[in-house]
Amino acid sequence: MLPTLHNLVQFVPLGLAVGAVYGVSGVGIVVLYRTTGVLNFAYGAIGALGVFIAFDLINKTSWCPNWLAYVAAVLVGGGLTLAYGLVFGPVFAARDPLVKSAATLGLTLILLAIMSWRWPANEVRAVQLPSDNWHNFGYQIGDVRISWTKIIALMFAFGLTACTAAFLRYTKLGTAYRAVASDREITATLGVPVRRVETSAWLVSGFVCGASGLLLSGLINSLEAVTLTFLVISSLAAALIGRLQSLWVTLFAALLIGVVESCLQAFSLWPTESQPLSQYRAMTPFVLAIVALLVLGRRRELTLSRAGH
Amino acid sequence: MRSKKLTAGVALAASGVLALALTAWATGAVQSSAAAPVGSGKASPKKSVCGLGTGKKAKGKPIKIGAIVTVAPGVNWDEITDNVRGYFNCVNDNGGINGRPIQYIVHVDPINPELVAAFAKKLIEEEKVVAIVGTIDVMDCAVNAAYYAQKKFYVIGDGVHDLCYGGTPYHIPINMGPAYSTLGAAQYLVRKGAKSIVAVSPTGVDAAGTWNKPAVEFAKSKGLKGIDVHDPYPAQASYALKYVQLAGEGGGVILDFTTDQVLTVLKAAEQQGIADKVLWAGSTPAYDTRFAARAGSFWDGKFGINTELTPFTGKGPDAALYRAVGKKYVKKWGLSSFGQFGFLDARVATEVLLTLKPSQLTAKGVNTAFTKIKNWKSDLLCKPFYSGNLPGHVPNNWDLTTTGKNGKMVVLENCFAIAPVTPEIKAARAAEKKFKLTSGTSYPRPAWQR
Repeated sequence: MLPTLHNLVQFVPLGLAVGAVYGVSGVGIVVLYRTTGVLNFAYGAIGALGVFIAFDLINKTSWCPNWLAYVAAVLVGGGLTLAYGLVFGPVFAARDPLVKSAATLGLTLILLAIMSWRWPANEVRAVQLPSDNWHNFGYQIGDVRISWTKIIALMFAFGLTACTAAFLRYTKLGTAYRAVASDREITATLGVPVRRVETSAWLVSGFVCGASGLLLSGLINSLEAVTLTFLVISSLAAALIGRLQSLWVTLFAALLIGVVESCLQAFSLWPTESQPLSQYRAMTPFVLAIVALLVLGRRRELTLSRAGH
Repeated sequence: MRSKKLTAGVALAASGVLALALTAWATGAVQSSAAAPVGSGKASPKKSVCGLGTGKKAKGKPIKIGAIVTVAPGVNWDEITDNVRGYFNCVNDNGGINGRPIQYIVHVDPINPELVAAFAKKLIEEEKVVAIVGTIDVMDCAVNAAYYAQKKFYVIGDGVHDLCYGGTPYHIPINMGPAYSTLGAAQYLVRKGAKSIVAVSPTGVDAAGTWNKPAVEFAKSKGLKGIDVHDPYPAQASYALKYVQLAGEGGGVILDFTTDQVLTVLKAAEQQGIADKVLWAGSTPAYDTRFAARAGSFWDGKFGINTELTPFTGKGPDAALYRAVGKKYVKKWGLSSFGQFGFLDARVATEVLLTLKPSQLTAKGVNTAFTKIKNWKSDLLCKPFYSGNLPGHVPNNWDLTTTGKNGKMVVLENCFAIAPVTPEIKAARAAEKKFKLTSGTSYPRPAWQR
């Protein structure tokens, strides 16, 4: 049984909100990749760790106000990413981007293990954002009320993408980012402090990572290490559709992934109750990424290895 | 001179302390600091103890008992085996099995059938356990039933797979399992006037995809729409909307997930303003202090939880002992149905072991004794527990409905019979009558008659 249009439409805003978080992460991933050549698979895990620490600050201490815990989540994301960049960035600087990216998988596994050990599943955890409870100030679309957290997620995604695009285009540091992305060695010979530029990229990307972890945990009302860690899959798919270059394409691809994933929920009885289309919603990022790469690949070759490496 | 004064002062202070100590002892004021060990004392109809209740550590040759438990992302059933271990530790601190401590060996299955088969062999052939108690595994009943038949091992544990409930004589579950608990939740929703039943079970864990079938059949037998849904961890807000749309206005949604996953859906429904469009219920896993603590006042009385054992807040002796053992020996977990399962698995097994002579504490002796369990009572059970040497077992087929209210778990409906919609439940009820399994002389006898 096909869903009615009325039922289908109600899934769109929910998908846009989740897609916005994918987009925020995707933008952070693209900025880091463009500057350092590292595709950070640990993005979700780093964000998750920040939120777990925020949870402990809110629930296990008496001195920490909630706003400070939220800030801590973002700072942990920035700090941890920066630390990784400072320690391993120079070590892997001359290596192929595939090697650089694979190294972040190691970080992912380490962080997952730490979270499983420190925060075992013997407790129900969630970090509520203040905007979750602004019920009366949410918007009603059809039968569904859209909370301010979802609206903020969407606004944040567009704001972040616009600011980052403007920063890369109009500021000196942004120009340096683009120069490093084009050719690290030549940029260094021109006197650009490449190491400092890369360090700032790690830091900014980490802050974005912390913020997206916090937003996602608010959206899903749950704090679960595996779910948050694998957020990176949808974000990576969006970044790939953006060819690891375009911030705006990445954002819109992420929104599309979120909306398609969400709308597929409406197909829970079609084509059959035992094998509904909704069962395959997890495939959305892969399918969209493959389709996009096939279409785009006809025009331009995309490879993880950048020119000159 | 100074030294004499000092000596006199010390003597005076010592006398004072001694006098105070004697007074405290005489008035019983020191009782709290020298409180009796947990689970110790003389068993009576009003007091349950751990094993012999001697308060003395068992020091003999260990008796090995094993278990297999599923622990995977989103599936943390070690809460059950941790509670089994906690009770056995309490027994060991109270004289053990006539002086012999229990050594509990648990193997963790990350949902891998090959490992499950290997663990059963390892427990029985290498580690030489005399019994398997507290197993809770996604696939154990399906994978190991033939092996247990060959080795004549009767597992007292907790079922998950449909085969655990009537499909094999070698699993004697103390719980009712997800399928019947979901059915109980459907019965509650129908009584509340639900216009449809949407039963949601977790893919991956519901390995055979059959957990929702009795609930859906029950709904259809009442002339209602019944929908069988299988979903992974419902980590996004869209799941709540999907369930509400499927159920329709006034319909009923049953969530067969663990507490944190249930709360993810409920909170999403609350935030979207769609929670009151349908009636909500869940299976046993959400009967948990963590649910009441986290659900919030919006959900007070709105989420009916089918609860396979009677409340852990009860005044009965076993409920009191469960809380005491949990507090001392199982600090990692809160109070929950899962904890109660582990406690009862270990308790009934211990009571059986205590009836055996030292020469019978072998795999053959213990497993033969397990088949004789009959009319065994606990205030945590709606009806007596039994094994009865039957071709299949569903001894727990009555339960109740609870809910969270004001931060606490409270009873919504007292014990009721699970609807006999499956041949296995019908067979269990017939066997109870025919062999008088829930009446007459108990085996094992109550501890105070031991």
